[in-house]
Amino acid sequence: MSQALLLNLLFFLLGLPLVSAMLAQFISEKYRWLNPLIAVFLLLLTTITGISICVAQWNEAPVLLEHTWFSLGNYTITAGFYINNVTLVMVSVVSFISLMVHLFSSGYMAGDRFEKSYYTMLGFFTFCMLGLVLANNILLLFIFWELVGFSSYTLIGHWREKAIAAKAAGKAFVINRIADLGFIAAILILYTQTNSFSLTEVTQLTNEFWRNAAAISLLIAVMGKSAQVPFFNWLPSAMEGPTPVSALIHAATMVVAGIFLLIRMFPLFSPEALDIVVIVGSITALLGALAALHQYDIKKILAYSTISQLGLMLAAVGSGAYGVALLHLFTHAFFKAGLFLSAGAIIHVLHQAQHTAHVHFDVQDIRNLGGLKKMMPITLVCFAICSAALSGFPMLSGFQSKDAILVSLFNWSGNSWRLIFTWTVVVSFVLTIVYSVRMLWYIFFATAKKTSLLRVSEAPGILRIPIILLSLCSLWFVVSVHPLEYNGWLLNSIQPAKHYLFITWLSMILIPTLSVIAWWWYKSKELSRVYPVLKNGFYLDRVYDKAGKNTVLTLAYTAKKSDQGIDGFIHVLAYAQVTFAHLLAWFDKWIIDGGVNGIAWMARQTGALARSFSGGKIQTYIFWTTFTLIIFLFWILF
Amino acid sequence: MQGIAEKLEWIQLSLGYFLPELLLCVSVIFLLLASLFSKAKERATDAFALTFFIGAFVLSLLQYSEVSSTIPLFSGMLQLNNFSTHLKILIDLAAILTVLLSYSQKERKGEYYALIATATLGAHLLVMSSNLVMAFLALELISLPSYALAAFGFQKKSMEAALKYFLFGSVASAIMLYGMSMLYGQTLTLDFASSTFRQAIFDNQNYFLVISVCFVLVGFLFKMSSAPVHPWAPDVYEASTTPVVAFFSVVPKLAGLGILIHFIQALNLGGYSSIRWYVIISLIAILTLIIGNFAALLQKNPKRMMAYSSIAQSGFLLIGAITLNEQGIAVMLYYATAFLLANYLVFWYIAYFEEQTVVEIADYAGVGKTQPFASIMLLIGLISLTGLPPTAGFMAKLFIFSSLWTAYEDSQAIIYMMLFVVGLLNTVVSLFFYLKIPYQAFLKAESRTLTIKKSILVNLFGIIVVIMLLVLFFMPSSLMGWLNRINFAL
Amino acid sequence: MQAYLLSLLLIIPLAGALVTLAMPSTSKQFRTIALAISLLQVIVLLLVFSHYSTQQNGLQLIELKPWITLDMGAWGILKANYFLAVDGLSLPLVALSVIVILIAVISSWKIEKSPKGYFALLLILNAAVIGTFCAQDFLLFYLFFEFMLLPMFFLIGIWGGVKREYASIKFFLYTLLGSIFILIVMIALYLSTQSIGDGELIIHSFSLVDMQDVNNIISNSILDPQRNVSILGMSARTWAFILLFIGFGIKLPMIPLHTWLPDAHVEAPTPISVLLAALLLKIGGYGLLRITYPIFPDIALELSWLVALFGVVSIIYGGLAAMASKDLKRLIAYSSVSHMGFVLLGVASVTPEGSAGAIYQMVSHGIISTMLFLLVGVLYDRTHDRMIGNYSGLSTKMPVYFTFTLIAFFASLGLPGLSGFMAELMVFLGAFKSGSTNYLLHESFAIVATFGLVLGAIYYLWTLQRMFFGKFHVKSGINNNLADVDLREKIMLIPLLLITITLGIFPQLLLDFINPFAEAFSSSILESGKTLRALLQR
Repeated sequence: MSQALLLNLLFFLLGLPLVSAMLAQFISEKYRWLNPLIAVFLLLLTTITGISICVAQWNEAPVLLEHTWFSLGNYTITAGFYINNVTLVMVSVVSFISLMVHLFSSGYMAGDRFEKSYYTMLGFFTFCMLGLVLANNILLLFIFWELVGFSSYTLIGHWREKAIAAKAAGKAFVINRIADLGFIAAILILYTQTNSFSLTEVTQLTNEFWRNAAAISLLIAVMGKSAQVPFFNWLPSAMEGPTPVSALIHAATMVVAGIFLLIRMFPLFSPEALDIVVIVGSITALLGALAALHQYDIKKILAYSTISQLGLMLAAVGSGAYGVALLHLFTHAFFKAGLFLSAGAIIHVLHQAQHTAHVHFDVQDIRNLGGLKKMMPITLVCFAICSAALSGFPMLSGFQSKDAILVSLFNWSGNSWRLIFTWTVVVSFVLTIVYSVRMLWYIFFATAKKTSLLRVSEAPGILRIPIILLSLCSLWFVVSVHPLEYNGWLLNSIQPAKHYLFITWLSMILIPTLSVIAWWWYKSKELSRVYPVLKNGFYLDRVYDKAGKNTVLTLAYTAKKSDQGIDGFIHVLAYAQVTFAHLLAWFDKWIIDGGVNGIAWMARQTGALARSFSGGKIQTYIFWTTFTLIIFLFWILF
Repeated sequence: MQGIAEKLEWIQLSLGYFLPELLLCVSVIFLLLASLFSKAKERATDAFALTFFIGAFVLSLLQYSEVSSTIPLFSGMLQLNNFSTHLKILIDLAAILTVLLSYSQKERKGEYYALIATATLGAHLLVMSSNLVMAFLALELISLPSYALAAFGFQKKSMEAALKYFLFGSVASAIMLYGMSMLYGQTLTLDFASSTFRQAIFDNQNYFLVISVCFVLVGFLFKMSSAPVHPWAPDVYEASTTPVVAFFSVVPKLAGLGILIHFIQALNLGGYSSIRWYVIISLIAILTLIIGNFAALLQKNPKRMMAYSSIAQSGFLLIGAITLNEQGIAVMLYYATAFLLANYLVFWYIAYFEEQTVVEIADYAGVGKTQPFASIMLLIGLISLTGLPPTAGFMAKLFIFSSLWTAYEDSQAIIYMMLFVVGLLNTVVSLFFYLKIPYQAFLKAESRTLTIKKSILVNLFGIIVVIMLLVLFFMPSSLMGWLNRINFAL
Repeated sequence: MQAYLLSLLLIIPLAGALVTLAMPSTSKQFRTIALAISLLQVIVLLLVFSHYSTQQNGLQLIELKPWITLDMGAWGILKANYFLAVDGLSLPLVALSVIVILIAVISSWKIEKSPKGYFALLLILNAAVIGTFCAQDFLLFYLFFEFMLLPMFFLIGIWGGVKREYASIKFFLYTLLGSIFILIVMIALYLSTQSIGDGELIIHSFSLVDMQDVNNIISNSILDPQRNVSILGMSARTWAFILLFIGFGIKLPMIPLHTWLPDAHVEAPTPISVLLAALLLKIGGYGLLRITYPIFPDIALELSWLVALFGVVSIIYGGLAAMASKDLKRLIAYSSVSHMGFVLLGVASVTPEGSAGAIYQMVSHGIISTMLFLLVGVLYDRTHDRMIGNYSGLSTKMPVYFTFTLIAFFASLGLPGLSGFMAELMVFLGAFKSGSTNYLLHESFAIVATFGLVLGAIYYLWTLQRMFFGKFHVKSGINNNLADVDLREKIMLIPLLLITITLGIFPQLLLDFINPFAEAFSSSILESGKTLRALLQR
């Protein structure tokens, strides 16, 4: 493709969601039905553009299109696009998932009071996410990185009357901000060292110390955005937003921006830094899976699962197989979005049913659900496919990507201390199977509990289409034709991974076996009690409240106090001044009367003259004047 | 001793340089007689007084061109130079402004103006004195009419104030006289401009000299209402009529300053004195600044406040006297001019508001809304006294402090730096009280309705003075350039 | 024409003030006059831009007329000029002033309490602010600087809120104290500076250009580095630097000299808060860049760490204090303190990035704080209450207002894509780079300062959460019939919004002007600073 055409297409790609965002604001209330229509249409165009660019540019040499942006000192900063295979994968994923979510939203959000701003922010988010993956320099990337955070903030807080949603939105933004200090630090280091922001130039930093510092700083930012330990607690709370938003932002696209960043900046990471990445990733994977196992809320289960899966991707990058990470990112996007949208469909349908039946309970709580198998068969099939993909069932895309992760991790660890972390990942794989089964069982197969009170029917078609499409995309062929082969079109063009057939076969046997055991386990017993520490995400919220929020608030009130202190000091100064003035005036006038009463008295006794005016002041004036004069003279002379 | 012929020759020679003073003598007699015999109409008396003072002003002005260096008059009793000429001009200007300000005064106009003319004459003589006896006489010539003027409110309060003033004044005079006699004992001459005096001072650099000089200074500082001989001022200012207060706050102050500078200049021996007189003056200035500014903070009566303000201002004027060089004196004269104008502007409007029964500071509440023009004029006057741009007061302070800085730069004496800092910080303090009236006028709500007497004359005068204040800021060279061209060799 | 453009910018409002004063106070046209004046100024500003060349470095559109030439005998000749000019530092701030004043006039549209005095003072203030940014002569600068005090005093004191008298007096005294410090240095400076003359006499110059030239220091004067006068244990030059720093620091305001600001802001009426935050605070930063640093580069190199320290402390402390504020306006006032801290940090870095960032931050903060104060004003107009705790769920009642507030808050907390972020980023870059290029500041200054971003996010989002989200509710006794933003308010807010976005995305628009100045600034400070220090050591 010629560069000019490519550039135009890219502008088209970026412009369409932005246009969608703006149009949503300008359509009047009367024609509000146009909103979803236009948005879906424009997103469809976006997706077509994105995929055609992807197809056209696939396996071409990386393209850098840039233009002068501004200059700092003697250095010129450019803005533009950097396109390689990684970008192309991301563009397709983002635009496709966004389309699906838009489509889903047109049913899900119909009649919402703030539909306008919903579509605006959804469009804006898509624009920013595409910008993020296309950016040619780290500053531009950071700008979009923060802007997707902003979109996430407004979308989590979409239901404005829900106070808890606003709190969750704020929490998400602030925690990401804290982590983003790492990003800023990295930018500062890279710019200072290389006088550039360009991705291709900053990654060539040679100074060992600064390179590691920048890498670690970036890792902190990634840990925030991709919800890693210890920053992950914002993601479960973010589930307060509309479910399609969770699917798009908090599962398939925004949270994987961290992984994308790691892949982009991969050359900057030394082996030591990569080790840290694996450690962070594997621990998160384990903790996320453990927490997911102990949730009652469908969306919370999915959120913790996402955290866990993101940890896997991090671990994959850390093991050096960034292509594998991208592969998992790719497969995960589909099945996780599918899961979320299915959950959304269930929630939607149950809400509608509740409305007609006038029964109210928390429809997201799996303890209240069950028996949906018969009521929503199509949703069940889709949900089952996606969760099977999540747990890594053979014949599904999840199997391939997970297999690749395991292989690369074992490759990485060899026979060293690193094996601990590889096995941590393995454990989290097992746990994934367990919680997937648990979720599936309690929603669909367990005996209907409160759901039995409702008349539930299958979700409307507009909700079903995206779910079906996404579950189709969770099948093996998106990765490669061979269901056990992960080096398909994607990995072969990015970073082919080695095979280790033993692992592949083992997991092919083990995963279904484990699933069956888990299935049997859940079938045989009632919902077990959960550990509060896991249910509450390791009390991270509380720790932050205690250690972070309270400290900051205490500091804030200290600042306020000290301000009053400064003011008090100023007032004391003013009072001192006034007091001094009092003193002087007093001295000037009254000490004379008070201090030398005796003299005044004597004066009154002796001088008849004095009696005519008040208090014999004049004598005392003269006395004091003379006195001062004498003091003065003494002072000067001695 | 000089022979009679020689004396006559002196008189003959001197009379030509004595015209303003002669005119003032004539005016005193004329005004007294006019009031005695013809019971002249008030306005006519005003007009006569005005004419006389303008005449004196013009004659003093003419002396500029005649005098190029110091001219001794009357056997060296007086000496005329440009420094004293300039002060005389300012004094006459103040007298003219006082007459204008006394426009609404009703009683005993003739005597009143005669007293003012006498005091003005005294001030003329004092700034020209080069002999201690002459200085004493001139000082008394200011003092005696002042005592009477202080009583011109014809109320018990003003009588009391006048008596206090008188008693305080007599003690100050007595101390000064004592100091003069001690000085005579040491130098055997009263003519402090003479070389005998200088030689004697040079030979007797001892503590006794310091004591006698300090005694003499008491009298001069009393006229300037400087610390530590200031306590009379607030009582007297509060009790006297506003025109008289305005007069008191300028004329005796400038006269005292004139003689003080002459005297200290003589003692300084052109820098060869081993006694550092500037330290003494600096200490007095610091004391005066602090007392004046801080004591003014609490005042509730505008005139009492202005009394302390004028004490503080004499502190600034003393700064001009400290450097004891030509430039310092030129700058001091600039300051004196700016001070005079702003001071009269303020008193003019205080009198204006007094007529509307706005007497205490609290009474000014809300007048900014009902009478914005007058309030703004008053504000400008006060700003100039504070020393904020764009008024003459700022330039004056800038010059004064510049002169102090150069003095510091040359001598590195820490006392200058202290004075510099105290002076500038006192500017901030002074803002507290100078803003009191505008604060009431503009920020407070009106508490009562006043019967407004609009006066074109008052506002016309206000505008003229404000323009002058602005001109002195934007074109300081209009006056400073002139002052700089004048030879101030004393 | 070109030769008088800057004067025209000053004369127009002054003439407007005269016209206003001459009109009868019953007239209703004062606001129209003020608006016309502001629009006229916009036109003149456009002309100024059209005559300004970004290719050229240094002062442009110079107007130099002799003002005071005094032969002071032994001191030499004293010379002050009517010297107006703009450069990359002045022009953005002048442009900012013109825009903000226009907005302030529109925002004053409903002033009913003695409009004559109000608009007259506003116009005088207008001229004084622009004059301060244009003056290249210290005396002229000082004149304009002081000239702002009284109008501001009255504008707060007469048209302000409940505690207006306390606030206005506090403002006045603080600022006057600061200006006295500046005056001290001004006296010392002009007496120590000579301009090259042809005669034998020394010409003492007030020109800032002369003062910045190392060669113009009069040898053996107190500020002569070679003489190295020590006063109370510190060199005279250090004293001068510190006094100027404090003087401008009060204006900026910098912790701990800031306590006048919250009070003044809270009590001032909306348009005056706008002017105060958007323009008057900038004079502090402007003074540092125009006077303190260029004239005392040697001390600047020595004490930059101190300036940066105060900057960082202001950033953090201001953020914390904002968090503890219960009054929305006070919160924004403290956020101003925090944001002006970036200016200090940027200036202290003495790098092209940092100084450009400082200027950029001044402009950006000018625009953003204008928006913020206008938004508070919108609410205050309707309810006469500013307490954060008294509101909840406003977003459902006033969605458009919410949208504006959302964007303004995010602009202020440094969301990328909006001007505040660009400015802060440049400051960080400069401060960080200083650690490896000119070694003035340690890298940790920049890193610690970044925490200001987190604090900003916390207090703004917390405010949003408390006031705008949740069920709609206002405290009883407050008018709960809240109308959304009206047309007049939109007219004020939308242009500001567009400017913020534009400056966030296309920084080069402003950097075209700033960059040449910033580069010249940092290199000349480093160079002449080293020269002067070499003199000292000799």
